[in-house]
Amino acid sequence: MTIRRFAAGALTAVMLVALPITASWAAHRTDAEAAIATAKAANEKAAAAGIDTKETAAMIEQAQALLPARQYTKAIDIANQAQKEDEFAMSQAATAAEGQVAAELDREDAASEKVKAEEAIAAAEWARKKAASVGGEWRDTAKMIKDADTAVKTGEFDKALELATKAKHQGELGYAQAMAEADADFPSYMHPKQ
Amino acid sequence: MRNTIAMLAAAGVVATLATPLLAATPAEEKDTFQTYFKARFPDVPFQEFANGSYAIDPIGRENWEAIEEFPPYETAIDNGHEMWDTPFANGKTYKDCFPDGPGIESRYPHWDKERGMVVTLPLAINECREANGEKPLKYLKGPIGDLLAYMAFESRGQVIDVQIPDDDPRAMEAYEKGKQVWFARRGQFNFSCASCHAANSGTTLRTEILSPALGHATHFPVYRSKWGEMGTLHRRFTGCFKQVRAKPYKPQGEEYRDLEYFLTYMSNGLELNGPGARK
Repeated sequence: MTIRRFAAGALTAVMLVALPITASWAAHRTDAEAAIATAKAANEKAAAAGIDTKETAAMIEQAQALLPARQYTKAIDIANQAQKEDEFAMSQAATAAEGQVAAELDREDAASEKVKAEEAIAAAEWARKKAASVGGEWRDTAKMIKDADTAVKTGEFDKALELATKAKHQGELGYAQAMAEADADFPSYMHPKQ
Repeated sequence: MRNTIAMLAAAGVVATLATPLLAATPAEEKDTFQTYFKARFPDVPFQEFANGSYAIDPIGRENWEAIEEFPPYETAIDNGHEMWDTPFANGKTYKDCFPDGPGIESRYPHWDKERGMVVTLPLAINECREANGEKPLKYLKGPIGDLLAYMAFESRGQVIDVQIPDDDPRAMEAYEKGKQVWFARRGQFNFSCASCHAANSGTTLRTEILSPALGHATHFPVYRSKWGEMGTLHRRFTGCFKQVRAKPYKPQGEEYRDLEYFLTYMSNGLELNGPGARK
């Protein structure tokens, strides 16, 4: 075997092994085209969601422009970057939208909680006045109603509801107490034992 | 059967008609009231009930007697004397309203037939002021305490003799209303005046001995150590109401005037000994 034949064989063997290996890390046009297509899809989705995509659209064009020059790896990098940016922008927009919906739901809940608290305060005031009409008002009822009013103004509807409920209960008990004691008189223990 | 029913019906009619005759009179109720406390505290001479818990608490009494050597209400008496002598802006004085002088506390409270209401001394003082173009004094504390202290001091020794006139049923109604206020449970704690000052008189509540109600009306206004100043009887009513977590009535309003009427009547026979010093 001559050296020439050996060298040719070795070179063939190397090329048979190295070329496939080399091809495995060298980007293909198809990979670049696939990356660009994915980036385009993300870009369209982002645009449809009202996100400003001018910058990422320009990046995709840049990636496409690299294909004729066979700079597939760079094209893939740029396309992937554009895709990531558009996807990130979409996730941010989705979070904001969820927050808006949640805020809207919170506002609706708050409105109904406010109404509940105000109705409870009105009921408590009515109960207090009823007790007062028969001299049965308790010491703290009016203050509890006032504190409930303040809590509504500061948005503490649960606290307002709790206070108003307690105040209403006091008013009802005060009224019942005064009615039960309307005929209060000398108790039996004060009369001399027969 | 028919006879039984007839008999029962007759008995019912008789009982209904007789009920007003069986109801106790104010005089009988006063006797019941005073007998109860005399029996509860058999070692306390009658006039000593005017000294409240100091009649039944020997250690408290010792402290109180020491305080009475230099009474904290002395300044109030002096100030009240000055008020009595100082003319109003129109030149008149309290003597023009109370010609018999300051020693007239035993005339109050009384039933005013013309106006159909109980009149108390603080009320009369303010009516005098307003009639002479002066602003009324606040009823719980302040200058009224001074003037009342002077008038109480000048009235010491006079015997309480509140009248409930027979010829005006409204007077009896005021007495009954005052009695109801005194015996009615009230407030979040569901206590009546009687809960402490009848049923539990002589027992200890926190650190204090509860005074018997007999004699409560003899010694106001008081210098109360807790207040650090003079206060009126209606101020004490107000404090008691708040303590049982009831909303107090208006000072010198109808409820408290009727209550004072009843309570003072219950102490008929005791000598006035105001102003007083209390814890």
